Amino acid sequence: MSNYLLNKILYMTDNDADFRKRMKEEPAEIVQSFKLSGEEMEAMLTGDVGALYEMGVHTFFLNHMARYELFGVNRDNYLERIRSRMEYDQRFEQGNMPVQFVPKE
Amino acid sequence: MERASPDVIIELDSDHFDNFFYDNVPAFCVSLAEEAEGPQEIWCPMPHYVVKGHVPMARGVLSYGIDAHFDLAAAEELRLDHSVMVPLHYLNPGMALPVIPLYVNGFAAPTPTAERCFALGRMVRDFLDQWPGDERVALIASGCFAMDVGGPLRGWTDEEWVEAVSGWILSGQHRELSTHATAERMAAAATPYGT
Repeated sequence: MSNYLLNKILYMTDNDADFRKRMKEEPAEIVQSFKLSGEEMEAMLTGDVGALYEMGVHTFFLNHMARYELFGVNRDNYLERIRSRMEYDQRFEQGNMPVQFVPKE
Repeated sequence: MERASPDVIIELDSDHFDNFFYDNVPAFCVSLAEEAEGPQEIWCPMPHYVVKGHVPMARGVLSYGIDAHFDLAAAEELRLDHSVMVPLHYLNPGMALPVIPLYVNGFAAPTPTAERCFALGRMVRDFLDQWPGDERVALIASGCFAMDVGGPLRGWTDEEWVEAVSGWILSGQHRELSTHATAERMAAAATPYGT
C-alpha cells in the first residue's frame, strides 16, 4: 500500500518531461513498474479517481490525471469520478473544473 | 510598488510540489539561489522569466532565523512556480528587482501552524530591522484563501471564510487570524492538504 508511490507517479508526470513522454507512450508499463498493491494498480490503470481519492492520494496530483488525460480521465468526467464514493453534498452543484492549458510537446 | 520604491523583494509562498515532494518536505525554506527561472509548469501560459536572487540578504535571513530558533531549510537551486511568478509579473515588471523566495509548506499536511507562520513573519521583520544595508525591502505574500484544487468541491468557495480572512488581514488583526486559521477550519474551507 503506498500513497507515496501513487503520488510520485503523478508528481513525476507533471515535473519530468521524459517521464511524461513515457507516460503518454506506455502508461500501463510505467505504472506496473512501481511497487503498488493490486488495488492501487487497478485504481490507477482504470482512472478510478474516486478510489484513489478515498485511498488518500493528494488532490493536486489527482488533478494531473485530468490535466494530462491519463487513463481515461479528463476535465469533463473528473468531478463525477472523484465524487463516486462520496455521499451527495449540495455544494457539488456549484462544481466546475477549470480549463487547464497544456501545450503540445 | 512604484510609490514604495523597494530595492529588494522577499516573497512568501507555498511550493505546489514543483520543488519539494514527500521525499523531502521542509516546513520553511529560504532560497539562496543567485537566480531562478519560472514559471516551471508547462501548463502556465505566461511569459518565462529569469529572476535574480539576493544571496547576502537570503543568507542573512537564514542565519538570523537559525539563531532565533527557526529551523529553516535552505536551497541554493530552485524552480519558480506560477504562484511565485504571477505576482512578480505584475509587481516586478521585467524582473528588475531581485527576489528572495521564502517557502512555507502549505500543501503537505501537517503544515506549520498559523501562529508559527506569524512568528516567522515577525522574525523576518526583526531581521530586516537589524540588517545593516539601507535597501528598502518589499514583502509579498502569495496565496489563496481556499480552493479545492483537484478536489470534489472544486468550483465551490467558502465565502464566509474568505470574507473573514480578508477582514482580519485588512484590519491587521493577526491574532484573530492566527487563532481561527486552524488546520481544521482551513480543511473545511477546502484547502488541499493531502492526508
